[in-house]
Amino acid sequence: MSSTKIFLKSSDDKTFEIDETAARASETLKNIIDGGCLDGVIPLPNVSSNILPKVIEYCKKHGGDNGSSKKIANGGVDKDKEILPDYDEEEDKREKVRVDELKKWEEEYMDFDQQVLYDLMLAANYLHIKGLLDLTVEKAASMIRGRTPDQIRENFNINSDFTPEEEEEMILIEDEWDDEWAFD
Amino acid sequence: MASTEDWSELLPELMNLILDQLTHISDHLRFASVCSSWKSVTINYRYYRRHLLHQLPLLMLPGNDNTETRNFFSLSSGKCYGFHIPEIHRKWCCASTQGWLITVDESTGEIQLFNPVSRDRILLPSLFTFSYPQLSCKPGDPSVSDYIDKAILSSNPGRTPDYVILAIVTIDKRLAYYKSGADRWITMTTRWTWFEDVINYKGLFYAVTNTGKVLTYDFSFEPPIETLIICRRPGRRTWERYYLVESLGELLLVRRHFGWFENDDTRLRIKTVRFEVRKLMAESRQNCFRIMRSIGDRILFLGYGCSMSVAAQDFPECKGNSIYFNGDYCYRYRRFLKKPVPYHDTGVFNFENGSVESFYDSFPIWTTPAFWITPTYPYLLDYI
Repeated sequence: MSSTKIFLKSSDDKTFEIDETAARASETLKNIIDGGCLDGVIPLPNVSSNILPKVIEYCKKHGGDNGSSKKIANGGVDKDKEILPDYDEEEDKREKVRVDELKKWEEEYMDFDQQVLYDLMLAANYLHIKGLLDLTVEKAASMIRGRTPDQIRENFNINSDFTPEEEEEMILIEDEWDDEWAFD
Repeated sequence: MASTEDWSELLPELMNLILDQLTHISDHLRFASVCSSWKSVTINYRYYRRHLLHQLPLLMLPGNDNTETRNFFSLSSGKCYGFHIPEIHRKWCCASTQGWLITVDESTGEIQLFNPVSRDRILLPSLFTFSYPQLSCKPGDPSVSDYIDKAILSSNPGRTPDYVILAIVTIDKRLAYYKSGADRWITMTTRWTWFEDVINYKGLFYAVTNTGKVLTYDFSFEPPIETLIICRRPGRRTWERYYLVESLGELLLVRRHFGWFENDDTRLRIKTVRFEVRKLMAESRQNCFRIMRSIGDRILFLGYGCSMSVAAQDFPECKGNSIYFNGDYCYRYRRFLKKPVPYHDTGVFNFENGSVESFYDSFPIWTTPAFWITPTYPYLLDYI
């Protein structure tokens, strides 16, 4: 059953292969599969061939589960403890190793620039891959947290479209912040 | 490989998810400053998820006549920050709600609402317009400087011209109010000995007396209608002080217990020993307060200034199930004490182990109070 292959077609008409179990990491694909539309190729007009392999890589890693490493760490280990009164310490250790390994994988997986981030976030949103969406959103947030507007613009390649007057008002507020109220 | 990415046009729902991950309000402000579409996303976000944005109050430290810089202690960083505010130099200040201060000019009796972030000022009727007791207008009269003890707003004057201020005034701890547009303050005559705290909760003003009685005041009537809702002191009489604070939509009555301690310099000092928290049970036919063994994930800020409650998970730098307090009874108990007692009693009480600890060791001993203030941010984020 796990060997059933699914074919996905990117917006630029390139076809990619993925295991069904891996594809189920995406709610959108899961619904299509469960809807019995398995014969041909699933077209993904919103995902380009640049980004689709990256999405497939994530799905392969996560198979059926939709969580990120954080969720697995919280949900998985605690649940085990709850169900089994004297839970297996070895099992617990293995679980920890698995979570650590997954975190490391995520770290390497998420090492890319803002262009990929943008496309990957859109793809995760379109394909309803919750864990991947969480990861990309968190990465974007980390590129904003504690940064000045200028740094944020640089990080995301955005040009300010404020009028000079608006810009001046912004700078005044920012200055006030930087000088006096930015405590964190 | 040309990419079509344009972050300024990212789907608003994804922008909202990113803003969800930015829990500090300063990041929201900077986010809004990036470009106009991010600005409008931030404004909409704030409108829909206003309740998600929290901020720790700052402890505004007493001023010094020699400098126009006021220091603020931030629990987030554990540091003090200077902020140049010439407008309040040499003025008596007390915290009001929603980021406003009440300032009193001791020489002229002029009273203002002042927002230290936006620098907005609203002139209020002077000290000499209080209906009771009337002041003799002697500069330097000690009763002038600390005439107003606490003042609570019904709504943010930055947003609506229609608001009421309820204040605890004079050494007798009476209630006085001001309705926007009026030319005077009206001191209320009541049969209660004195008032310890006031709060605006669900659109109604609540006040607690020195014996733990709780009253409501409805200012849509003139004179306002007073209703006694709790008439029994919670527990046995001790050396105590009461506070009202809203937490997760519930009204809490907090009782602070004091004891005497001998200090290194062999002078007796008042110190906070513990706190009790009760919540108002309003669903029953008769109102009552039920004692709480713990406040769970909440952190309360009490004492001089505006009381508030925040979720510990939003502020990992603070301890949950705790009450942060400052020394606010010097003035309140001055009537019983011959010598002035310094405002030294700041700290944090933990419900779990009942401990009282200091949250900052290097505070000097003040002769005027420090108070909690939660700055509110004007311009972009606050005008909806």
